[in-house]
Amino acid sequence: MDAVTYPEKDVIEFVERHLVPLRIAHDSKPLATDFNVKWTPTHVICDPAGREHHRAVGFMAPEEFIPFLLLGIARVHFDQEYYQEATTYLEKLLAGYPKSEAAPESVYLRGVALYKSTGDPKPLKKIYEQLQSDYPASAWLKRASPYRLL
Amino acid sequence: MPEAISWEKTMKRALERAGAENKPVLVFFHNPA
Repeated sequence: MDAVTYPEKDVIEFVERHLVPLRIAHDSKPLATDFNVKWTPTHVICDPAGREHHRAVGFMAPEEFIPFLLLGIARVHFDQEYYQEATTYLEKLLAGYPKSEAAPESVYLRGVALYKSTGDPKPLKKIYEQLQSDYPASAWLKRASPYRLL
Repeated sequence: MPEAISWEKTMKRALERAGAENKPVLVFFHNPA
């Protein structure tokens, strides 16, 4: 991460703009224990109350790291029921990084956020249709399979 | 001898800043070795 991803200009700008970064050695007590860190690199995205919303273990190249961050920020908003804000970040992810590993989950979460904010079930069916069309090998397609019946 | 870093205080400061700036916190656990 230090050699490849963190020096990347886009990554630096994104983190400075959207997050408060904190770098901690993996054996620092009590935080490493509190966060149950067993391997590095581990990235955790928390809300300002310190609650964890998203996590990844292992190396990520810049083209995967920024979408991971976007999804994490979206999850912070989603979990707090700020669905419009969550949708904004998910749309950014899908527009800028449609081939990233985070993209299929973002399609799913965006549809759920739209459903929860409107009560209209159409976005749930659209989750399945878009995943089937754009990400047919994704595990998220299986998770969305009940929505095809809507 | 330098004073040991208090990671709890560092985290607390990061969370306070996150609240003030309305941003999430990205915690990066790394192996400095």
